[in-house]
Amino acid sequence: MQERHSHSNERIIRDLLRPVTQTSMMNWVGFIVLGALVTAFLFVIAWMFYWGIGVSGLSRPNMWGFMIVNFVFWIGISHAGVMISAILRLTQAEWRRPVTRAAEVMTMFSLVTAMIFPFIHTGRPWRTLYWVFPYDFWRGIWPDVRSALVMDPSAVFTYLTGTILFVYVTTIPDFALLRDRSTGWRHGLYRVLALGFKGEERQWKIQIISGFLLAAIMLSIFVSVHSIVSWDFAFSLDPVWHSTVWAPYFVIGAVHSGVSAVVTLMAIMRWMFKFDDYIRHEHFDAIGRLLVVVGTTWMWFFLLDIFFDLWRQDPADDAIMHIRFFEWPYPLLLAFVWIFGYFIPVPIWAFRRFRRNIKLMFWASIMVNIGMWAERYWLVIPGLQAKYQWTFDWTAYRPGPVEITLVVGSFAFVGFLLLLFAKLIPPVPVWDELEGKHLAAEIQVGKRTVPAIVREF
Amino acid sequence: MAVSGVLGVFKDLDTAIAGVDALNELGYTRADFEVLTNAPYPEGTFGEEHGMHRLGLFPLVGAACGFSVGLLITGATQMAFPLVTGGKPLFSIPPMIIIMYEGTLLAAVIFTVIGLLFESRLPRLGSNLYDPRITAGYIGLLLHAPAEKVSEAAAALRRAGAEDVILEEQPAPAAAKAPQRKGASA
Amino acid sequence: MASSHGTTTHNWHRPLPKVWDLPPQRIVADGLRRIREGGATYRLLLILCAILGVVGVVALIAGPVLAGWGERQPWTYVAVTFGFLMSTIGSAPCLSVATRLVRSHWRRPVNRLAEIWAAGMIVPLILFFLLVALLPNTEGRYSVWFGWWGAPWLWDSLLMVALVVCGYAFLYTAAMPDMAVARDQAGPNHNGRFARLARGFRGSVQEWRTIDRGVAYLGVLYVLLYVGTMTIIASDFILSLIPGNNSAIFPATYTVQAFESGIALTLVTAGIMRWRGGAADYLDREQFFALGKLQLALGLLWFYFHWTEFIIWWYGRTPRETALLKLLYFGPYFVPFAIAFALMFLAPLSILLWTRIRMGIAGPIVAGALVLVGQVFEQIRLYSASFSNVDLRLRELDFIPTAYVPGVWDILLLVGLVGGAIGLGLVTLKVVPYPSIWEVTGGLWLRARKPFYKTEVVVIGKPE
Repeated sequence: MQERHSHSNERIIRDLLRPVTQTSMMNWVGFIVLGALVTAFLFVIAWMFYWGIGVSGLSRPNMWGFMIVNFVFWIGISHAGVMISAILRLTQAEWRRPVTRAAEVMTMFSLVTAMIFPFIHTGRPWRTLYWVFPYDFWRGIWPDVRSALVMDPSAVFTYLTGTILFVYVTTIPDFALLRDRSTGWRHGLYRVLALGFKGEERQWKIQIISGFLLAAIMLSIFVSVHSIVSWDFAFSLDPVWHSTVWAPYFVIGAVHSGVSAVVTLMAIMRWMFKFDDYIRHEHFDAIGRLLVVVGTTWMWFFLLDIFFDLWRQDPADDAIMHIRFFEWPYPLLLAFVWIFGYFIPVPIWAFRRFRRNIKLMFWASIMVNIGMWAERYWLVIPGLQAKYQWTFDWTAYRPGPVEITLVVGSFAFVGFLLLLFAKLIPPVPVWDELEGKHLAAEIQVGKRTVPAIVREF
Repeated sequence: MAVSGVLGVFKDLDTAIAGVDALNELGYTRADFEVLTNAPYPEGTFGEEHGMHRLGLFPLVGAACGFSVGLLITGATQMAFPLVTGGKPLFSIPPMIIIMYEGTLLAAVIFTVIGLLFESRLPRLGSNLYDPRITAGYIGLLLHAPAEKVSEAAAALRRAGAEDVILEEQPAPAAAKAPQRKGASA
Repeated sequence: MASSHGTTTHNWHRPLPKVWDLPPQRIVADGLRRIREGGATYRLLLILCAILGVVGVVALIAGPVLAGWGERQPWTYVAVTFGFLMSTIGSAPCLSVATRLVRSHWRRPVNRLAEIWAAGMIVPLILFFLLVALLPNTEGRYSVWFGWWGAPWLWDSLLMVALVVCGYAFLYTAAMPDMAVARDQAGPNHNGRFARLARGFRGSVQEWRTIDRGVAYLGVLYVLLYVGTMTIIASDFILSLIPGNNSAIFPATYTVQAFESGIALTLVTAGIMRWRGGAADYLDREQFFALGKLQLALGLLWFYFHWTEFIIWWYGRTPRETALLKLLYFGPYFVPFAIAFALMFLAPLSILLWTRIRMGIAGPIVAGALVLVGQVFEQIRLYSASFSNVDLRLRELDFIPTAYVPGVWDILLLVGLVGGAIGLGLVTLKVVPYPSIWEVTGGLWLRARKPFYKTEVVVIGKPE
């Protein structure tokens, strides 16, 4: 059952602009706490640049640790924005309206965060420039296009550029609104950002069509990005990594964790900004149903990956599968993946009663992301942990304080950017909500008034 | 012939539609005036639109450009620096396809946004005749007509229930910002 | 109208979709027309399918059955037929389940067309039992079973039987309210049969609730079983029969391309029903547009899944992977692969990329028909490659077997048995009304054309 509000235009605008116009106590607490963690994050990065990558827990043969796990994780979270925004836009799902902006912005910030990790992981980040871009005309040495070092940045850069433009385009009307309601430097800023948007019928039309076009293009980019991230691993001949299924498996895992992160964000926005009338139970219900399908598909791919790793019966594969299943801490991580990633949340989402319980949805979505972080660790780290014939030293991977700070800091960084963003741009698209109001209708069927929607084809 | 503008600001949809009717009665068709709103209304709410656009062309052109640039970069760097890696051919097409794909889509996105700006006639920072109440839910009817007919149109809009009628002052560029400034502080 | 300009421009007004401005009695009459009187075309088609079915059975006996179960290769085209039917008539009901789950409105006149194909599932079931006997014990060879007791025969059979039973149950449950209509309205010649089928359905609130839940649960179960079965078929009948092929993505590829051809089958069925089946009032642009979008999306996924497998093998470059690339893509089966690539990916992409074509009716139908043809070649490529290996204990292919060229019996078998399965779908239309009376009538109340200031809009009710 839908719980539509019947607020006036003014009320909707006032409510949705509240995060921009007012700064609550919670906001300040958030800024200070997250800001402190971000400072630690930046300090640790500087520390690592100064002393070298050796201050982390990385050691042969485990040269990819927390940082790469975190990279994969944040790229995964970034898949929420387009998944929600593009697919729901293309299918004209009405429940997308309050969710899209926050999801798209989360994509943007988590991508930025994700990109930090391989970048700092190189130890000498400035050198990445000529590994990636063909600009060094003097030496006659060009980047290797067969390498993930070119492929991966090209995908992530495309995705980031696309996302920023997508967010910007869909925010132009809200910039115009803010322009008309602000003074001082904010007015100047919004005036420039709004580009003189007046809300002409033609401008709206173009806005909507370009939304569809960008959604379709972004969808094609989004599938490629996590595929290419998976190929960073799968193109190598390392046991268990070299698997044909990794691309779609990573993509669906990304969608699983990303959409769950959107649920987390929705619940936080509802509590923090008092958006009870806009982010409603029906929205959690719809996204919960979507997650049942996404989660189950992810589980299918997860099982395919495991079964086919075992199928090969290759000693190298089997050694790593042994580590994954029987050596500490991997069995615990596997339990996290299964229990938190699937067997608690998905059965919960199967019931409408639970899908409409926001607290439960919030905790279930947090659980999924704990499970999914564990999944990335479980997938990536053991891959290099095998003792090869010519490996001269060999040890298990132990993350040090540097990496733990980096992981915690990355969460704080995304949270901080999101809070900051909510001070500049309304986290729920105002014009989209108003359009929803314009398109809302009712149909009388007998004694029942059915909520309806004007459908444009 | 000097052309001048008039903007009628209506409080709600009903009066705005009356304003549209009033303009129609004066002989203006839907193509002669603009409707300004704070969110899209269903197509045709203010009468049938006849505008055309070529937005679909932009991503196609962008895709073609991006594909070509991708092809050039990946092809040329491989030919300029022939180094065998991992036993793969010196001219490896499959990895090129991946990068060309990204290039194609990147340029398609950028061109779509350029198309959006072009087709929406943006940016228009110095644009005149606007009222900030429009983003608050009012509806604006914006007509550009020969200067001598503007007062007639303004009167018709007022009769139809416009809460405010703003006239473009001549010469336009100097005075253009006046209504917007006024609105911004309102 | 949208069509008056070039492809990159369009006018701002598109024709509004139909709102089924029909009285409920008309929907009942349309639904029961075919049950009362099939018509000449229908009878002709039925006879043709029956003949084809007989030809198929004869070819099956004369070819592989007489050759015996000692060798796998003579059974190649039985497997092709089985794979094709599983990928088309088996997957079509999944489309109906998916559209129900997302509660799309356009689905109402389409669902039944996807569901009736479940009726033909008996054909692949029979073929399955003939084929499963060909599979050797899983001990000592590579498979997902790791020497489990009863594998692969017992578990494969259980899954397959469960799928087919579930498919029939789904079709029957979704059709039961319409059978009750037929019982009461179709006339004295029919009410006995329908009285038995409708099982006293009266349409009480409780009964509707049961039908709603039954259809939803059976549908979800069907999809789950379908994905499971396709995974097992892909791994037992294709992967494990090609030494060294442990491509983990393949079961997913096989399932996704089946979904693609399930949509294609529904599109083609809808096209025929619109053209010759008197369903023009129900199946309009809206339906073809929505199905066309899905067809395009799945066509792109077809490429994505194949590309993913190809690129990993290309980068791996081990002898195992080089042999697989040669066998499956660029060696003896290059031609079927190229045809499948053209028809299952390039054709939907190049036809349906254009909004103007997607908004029409012919475009999506043509794309669907091409996808179906492509699927035949895809199955030929896969099963010919997998049924021509003898020693399954090898770690990798040590030589590439030559292409299996079909004989006359093979072609007759394929055409005949597919024709027979289509015939079963046609027979079902005598028992299960089309359009789905309860769903389309239910949609009447939730859809209205309303004046809105200077225009007219279509309003769709969302009761949930």
